[in-house]
Amino acid sequence: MTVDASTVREMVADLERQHPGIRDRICEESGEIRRFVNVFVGDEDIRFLQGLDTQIPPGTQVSIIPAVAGGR
Amino acid sequence: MGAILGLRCRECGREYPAEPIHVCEYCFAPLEVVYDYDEIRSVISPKSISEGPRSIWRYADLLPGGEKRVDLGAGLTPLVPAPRLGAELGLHDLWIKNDTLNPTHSFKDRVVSVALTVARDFGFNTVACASTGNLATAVAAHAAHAGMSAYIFIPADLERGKIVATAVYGPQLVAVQGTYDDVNRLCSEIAGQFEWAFVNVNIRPYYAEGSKSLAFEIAEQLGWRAPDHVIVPIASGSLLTKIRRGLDELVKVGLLDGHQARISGAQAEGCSPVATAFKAGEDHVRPVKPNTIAKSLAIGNPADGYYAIKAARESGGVMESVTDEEIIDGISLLARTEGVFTETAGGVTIATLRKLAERGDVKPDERTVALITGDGLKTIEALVDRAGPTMTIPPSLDAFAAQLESKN
Ligand SMILES: Cc1ncc(COP(=O)(O)O)c(C=O)c1O
Ligand SMILES: [Zn+2]
Repeated sequence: MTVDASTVREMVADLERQHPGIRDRICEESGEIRRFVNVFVGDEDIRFLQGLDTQIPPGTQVSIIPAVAGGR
Repeated sequence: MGAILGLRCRECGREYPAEPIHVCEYCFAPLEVVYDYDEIRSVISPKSISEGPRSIWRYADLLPGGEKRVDLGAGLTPLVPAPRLGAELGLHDLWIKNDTLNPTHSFKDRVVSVALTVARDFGFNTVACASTGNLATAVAAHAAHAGMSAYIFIPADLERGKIVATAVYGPQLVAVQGTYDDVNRLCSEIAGQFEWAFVNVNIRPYYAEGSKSLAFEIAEQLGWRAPDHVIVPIASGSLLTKIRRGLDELVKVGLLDGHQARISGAQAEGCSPVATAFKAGEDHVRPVKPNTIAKSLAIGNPADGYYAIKAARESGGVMESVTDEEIIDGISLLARTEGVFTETAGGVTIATLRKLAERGDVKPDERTVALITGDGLKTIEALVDRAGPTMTIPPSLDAFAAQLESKN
């Protein structure tokens, strides 16, 4: 799907606009990304970039993946 | 199932019935087994335990799984004082927990005995796992013993000994051309397609509980006292996490008055994502691509890394990593001083212990226990250039005498 956002924070807000309730699955009440949800901008985990303030260059793919989906 | 209450999410606390599931549907965090500690407290005692089986199942009250056990006799391995190694390292109260003495020669027999017992309780006939080697062997043996089918997935470049020692039990052994992390990812896809008991996927909450038995035994063998410091090798980080949980539970059920055990972690430098994050003061583990002779610990994306860091930090422990060279020295040192031959994972533990002792992070008078989790015969490749005959002679007394002369 496509979102209109230049940072991860804006992306979450736009996702919530398109699919109400989704923010709660991805984020803690504090707004931080949940511990066992990984968000990748391109190939990089945003925890090792600027977190919610990570920039999303136009046309970049963002993946939201439960950590355990990678197996244990 | 035994007396467990169910499962609970480790992050959001949501509760689930005891089923073959491992992830919180709501927040995607891992699930953990829940017990009724008050109930257990009323039935458990040093006496009830000492009258139980001579295996991990003497602690059945604190493990999942019913009465029909898949039991090859895992556990109750020796906890021995290590004065000669201690003298080398300047430690006055050092102990070795010798878990090479398990049915398939690694601590993985503990977790697998629990996992297969629970899997059979759930009605599964087929078990599966992704493994760095020791788990593969343990699953294959226990499945054979229980008459269950097994599908075992390993990285294709594992040590020969581990491949042979797994294949001999007759499982479907699938060598995957990739790292453990590739194998693991593949298995989580396979687990979604087949109705199998994947010991480290859908059975993981139960499986991981088996590691607590190491903590229980150490406390029992010390006369129901906790050690001051435990040195634990880390792959996924589950074992370290469960050593702490095990000691905490002994306090909850009244078998220990309290404990202040520091839990420290050991990794190989060629695969040290957990130790690296710990040392950087972070709690998120950045995945790496492993490159080390300690293949049993070569997990680049460790599932319980976060919890292992938390357990080490909260307990006042530390983490360190060691080079392949230091690992080999560690294996030799333990064998020469204490007569215990460990695989590379134990070399990681001993080399890390040495580093921490030199630095004063393990204190001379702390009662310290080093976990030796696997047998040296599993990884002889690591030693072939180092350990061989000290003399080679023709079958003649003169030749022997001459060689002896030249040596002295
Ligand atoms: C010999 C040995 N020691 C220690 C470990 C670490 O276990 P964990 O994955 O629970 O950290 C393993 C894991 O495969 C192992 O094979
Ligand atoms: Zn949850």
